[in-house]
Amino acid sequence: METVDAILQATVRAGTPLLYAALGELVTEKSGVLNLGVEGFMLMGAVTGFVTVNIAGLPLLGVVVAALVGFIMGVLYALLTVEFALNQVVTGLAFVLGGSGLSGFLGKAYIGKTISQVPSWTVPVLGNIPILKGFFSQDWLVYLSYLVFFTVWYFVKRTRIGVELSAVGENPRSADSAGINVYRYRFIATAVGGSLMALGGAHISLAYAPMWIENMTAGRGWIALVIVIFAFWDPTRVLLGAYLFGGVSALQYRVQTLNIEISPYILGMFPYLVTIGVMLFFSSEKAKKMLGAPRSLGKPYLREGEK
Amino acid sequence: MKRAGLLVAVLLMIRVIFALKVGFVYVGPVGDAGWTYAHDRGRQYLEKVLPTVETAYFESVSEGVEAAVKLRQLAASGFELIYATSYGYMDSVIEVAKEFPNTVFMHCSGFKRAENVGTYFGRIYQADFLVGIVAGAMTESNLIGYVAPHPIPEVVRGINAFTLGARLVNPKARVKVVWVNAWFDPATEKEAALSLIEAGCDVIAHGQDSPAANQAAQEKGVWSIGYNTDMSKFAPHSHLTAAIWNWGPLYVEITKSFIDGTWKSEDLWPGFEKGVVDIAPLHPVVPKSVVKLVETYKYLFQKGEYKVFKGPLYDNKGNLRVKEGEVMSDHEIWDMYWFVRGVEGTLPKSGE
Amino acid sequence: MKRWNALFVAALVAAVILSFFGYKRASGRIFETGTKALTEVLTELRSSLEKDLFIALSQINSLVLETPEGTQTELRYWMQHLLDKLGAADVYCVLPNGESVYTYELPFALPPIDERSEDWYQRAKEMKPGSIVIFSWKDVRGRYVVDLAFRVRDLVFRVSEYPLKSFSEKLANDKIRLTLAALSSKENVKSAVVLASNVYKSGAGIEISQMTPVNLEDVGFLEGKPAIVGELEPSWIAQKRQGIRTFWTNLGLGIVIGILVLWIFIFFRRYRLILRSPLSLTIAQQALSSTVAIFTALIMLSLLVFMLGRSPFEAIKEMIAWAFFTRAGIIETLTRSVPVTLIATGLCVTFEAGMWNIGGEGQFILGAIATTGFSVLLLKDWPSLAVLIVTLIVAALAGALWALGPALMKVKLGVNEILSTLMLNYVALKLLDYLVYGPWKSAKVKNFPLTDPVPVTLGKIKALNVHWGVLSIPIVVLIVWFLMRKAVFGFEWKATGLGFEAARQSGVPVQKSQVLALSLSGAVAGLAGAIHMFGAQYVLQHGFSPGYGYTAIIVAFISNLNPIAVLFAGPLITGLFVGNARLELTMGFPVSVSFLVQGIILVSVILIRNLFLHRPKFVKRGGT
Repeated sequence: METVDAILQATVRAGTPLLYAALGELVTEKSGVLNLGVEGFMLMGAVTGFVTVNIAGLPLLGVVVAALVGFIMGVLYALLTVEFALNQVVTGLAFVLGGSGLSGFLGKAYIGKTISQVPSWTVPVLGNIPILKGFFSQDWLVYLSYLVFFTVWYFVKRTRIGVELSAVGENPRSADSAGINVYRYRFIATAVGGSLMALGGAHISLAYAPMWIENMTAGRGWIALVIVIFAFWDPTRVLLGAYLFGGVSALQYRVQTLNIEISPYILGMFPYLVTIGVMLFFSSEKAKKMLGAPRSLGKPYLREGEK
Repeated sequence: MKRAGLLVAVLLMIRVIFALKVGFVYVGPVGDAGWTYAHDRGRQYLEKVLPTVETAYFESVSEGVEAAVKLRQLAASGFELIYATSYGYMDSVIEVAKEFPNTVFMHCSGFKRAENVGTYFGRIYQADFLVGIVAGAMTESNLIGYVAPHPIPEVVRGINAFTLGARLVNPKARVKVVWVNAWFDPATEKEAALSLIEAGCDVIAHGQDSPAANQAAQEKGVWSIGYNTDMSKFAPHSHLTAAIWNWGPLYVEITKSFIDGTWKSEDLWPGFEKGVVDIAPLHPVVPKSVVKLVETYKYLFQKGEYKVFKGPLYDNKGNLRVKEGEVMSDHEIWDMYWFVRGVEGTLPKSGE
Repeated sequence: MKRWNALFVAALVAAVILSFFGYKRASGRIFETGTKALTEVLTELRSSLEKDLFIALSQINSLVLETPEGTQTELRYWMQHLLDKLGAADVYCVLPNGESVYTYELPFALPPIDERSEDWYQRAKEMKPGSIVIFSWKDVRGRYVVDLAFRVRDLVFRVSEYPLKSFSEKLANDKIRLTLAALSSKENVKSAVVLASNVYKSGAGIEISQMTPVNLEDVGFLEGKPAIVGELEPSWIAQKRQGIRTFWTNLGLGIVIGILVLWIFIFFRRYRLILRSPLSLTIAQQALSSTVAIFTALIMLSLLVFMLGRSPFEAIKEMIAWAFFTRAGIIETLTRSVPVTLIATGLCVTFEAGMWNIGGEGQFILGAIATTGFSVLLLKDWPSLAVLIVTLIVAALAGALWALGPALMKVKLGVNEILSTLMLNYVALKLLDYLVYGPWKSAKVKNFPLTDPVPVTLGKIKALNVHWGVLSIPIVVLIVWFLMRKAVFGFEWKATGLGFEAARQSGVPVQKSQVLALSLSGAVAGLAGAIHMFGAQYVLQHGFSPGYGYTAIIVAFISNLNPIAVLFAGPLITGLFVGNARLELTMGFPVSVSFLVQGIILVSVILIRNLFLHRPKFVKRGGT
């Protein structure tokens, strides 16, 4: 039982940065904006959070600053891709370059510094029940991620806003004619998504491995993108996907200690192959109607009348 | 004739006026807190000690054509002595060295040399042996975890020396190895370290560039051992010691020999005797007797009187690899690709 | 709105002035006090050090008279007593016959060592009784300790890690970090000096508890009198200076950014951006837009360089001069532009057909893998020309296959090709790692993760020192251009790209043409992989491609999907990046600045292009 708990705990811990980033990407993509720059957002969140905590000593402030920086970057991204209708793929790549460059530059003076970690807390009753223990003896940012998840889930699934957001991502033209402000939705979704991605980065630098090292997210931004596809734009499946990917990375070493001879490089391919498999599996027309990728993902919207 | 003399004089003057330019090519960012960081400290030391030397570097240069391009750029920009600090630069160094016969290249951890290409490395396995002693003495569960980056001889050698050190003081000690397959991924390293702790390891060592494994150990209240640089700051309660690089003196020595004109292409593989490798200060909990033992072996390494890899050595499948009374040659140590007895882990098979 | 604008501009200017003058004043003041404090600090440090050492000396001397003459047990007892008094880590004694006596019994068998030939022993032996030798120092996590030795009759004692309490305290109180190079005295304690050097220049900003010890020989200490080595620049001065600088600049910058954001916000509340429908630009307009774009990128770069405190003109001069007007620079630009330009040429086709192939990187790597697989492992004994031709074809096929999967998934199942190609990049990278660390590892390279080199190489163009693969660029460009503009495929691609439904209704085999387009770009990327292997890379190794496939996307996009334009844009963009990297060397910028610049160049280029394409204008909200 203890091993199971330990594995669950590791899974949640490893999955949290992915969860934040993937939820951020989900919100962004729901509105029809493709943000490939997740890695850059995460790195900027990680570095600004770390620097803030190093200077001010308050983990909470670090989290807030990271989210704010992500928001500002999101606004910038939206300005470029939504207002100026720049190509989203290229802008995304530019944000990866710019984000990793700027974060490396800002963090230069903070390499090798230490901070007070985001504290952990075991929920009194829940934290002692087997199985649940894994979820409820974690650091504060993990609990925040639960909250974020429920908020996103509620908004996407249960509110008018969620429906309109999907409509904007599906078919902006008809959404527009139905009186929905496409630009505003995309703008806000991108900015909020950006701040969530930055939080994912901040979880790594403030709680998971409390330090700053250049490029410390090590490609998790791209995995977050994969998770969103894997989950077919559904928040619950994003949660599952993030924990699945977190679990794979946590389990990998436990498998290794059992002396099973599979090349770890081959193991490393699995997440991507599984996702491609899932995409194939769920992509029949029927499933698509049910699950549905935002149909105008990555396509900037230009109003008819403004041509 | 007179003219030639004048020319030589002018050239000499130029040599005096213009500082010697020494270039470095790094594989990671200077801020990786590990391998590249240690090299950059060596570079800064070189600048400090030899003020007439001017240095510059390229960081995060990927191996392959990119490295050749950067080496060529340094050579073409008047850098007379160039250090390339990753084994993957090997072929690029040889290729570019052919084009610039008047430039001297020093390649770290490679084995291909040419008239103007020398190689250098440090016997970090000696330091691994010493920190192994500490780990072996401190473990109570007799199970030590090792978070390893990539399955290459350099890493395997380090794990072996570490295991021999641990089993010197604690013949029951076993070393569990997990591969992260990255030099550098803090979150994953931490996860690997945690999995080892769950498997019962109560001392965690690693060969990574980041101190994440040490942090994991501190969180779980077990001991840990750093690598590349002193990582005690990141885990002051858990960090017992670390096997560290100290490239500065070696860089000074090589650069001086270049300035004096005594440089020749050779393979430098110094250890404690040149101070290229060292161990970080020991944690106060390490018993005095262990400290004494470590100091004694360090002393013996400095004198060159102790060899880590000497017989009898068995691999972890029970085969006798080195007979009693035999000592492994440098050549054999160099491409060591098997684990000694006491290591629990697997190496990817080579397709030979 | 007018009033707001004026107010904003005023606040902006005020913020800039504030940060500038604040910084100026503060840095000057700190520097003065810092220099003055320096000498004082040094004197105080020295006296606290002397105090520590005197304590040690008096403790030892108070016990010397009681030194036992009898058994080792008595000696051990005496040493323990001394150890308690000194608070050091360890004391041991070297007997005249070379044996050592420790304060405790050792559980391990120590290898026998004789320290009588050691320098410290010799020095202690020559010492007058009642004085001590200090011969090494250590910095144990901010606590400074020294090793001492002294002599009583013919017994030589060594004290390890005697803590310098008041000295360490002094350092801690003043928040100073320094490197003790050595504490040494050949005569007596009084002349002990602090040899200090801050190995790190200010601004490096890296602190660790153990710094590199300075080798005494290197600094010429052993030859002459004790002296202060190097300049003592306690990093707290640097830190304070930097702190103030960051405070003022951050405040100013924060205000500036805040105002700009607010401004933009209010602006967009009042005005609306309208993009007009894209024009098809004439060649002249395209050229103009590209030129303006490059200039904008350079202006952005200049701003950044200026902010980093360097001359922008020099930076741009350096960049362009290196990348396009020096021999080594041209080699660099051309060598790198071969894979980039080739992949970009292929990408033009996919983009034209309305699909996004992000997988150039993966297809490139797969081409390279196929190259090694075939030429090294399978076709070893074939004649070189045959190897070359067969491998080029196979590599192109491999790249095409890697792209075929996503293509089929796209047309049959509607799977987004951006995401599937992106994921296959990662699969390719892992496959590469698997092969070079495992089955394909060469037997000749001492177990390093490298494969054998390809048996055939392309050779170099003598005059340029660039491999002959360069010539493949115009050939491939011409072929692709022909296919795109002159062959029937081209029209189908164009039609598909312009409108999928419309094209299908007018009888274009859209699915076939999309699959063909994606596969073709994969094939070109695979071919690029093979040419790269034969021309420059030779062996497979981990991470041999620093993202050529991603740079290619940029190139294809900037050249407006026109293969002929790629022919020029490829080397141009690669050259810009090469020149940018040059600044790392000449201006000491970290590599992160290069990445940042690349990002900025990219955004400004596509922004400018879009402005040309859409001619946006602002209209007042509510009015329309």
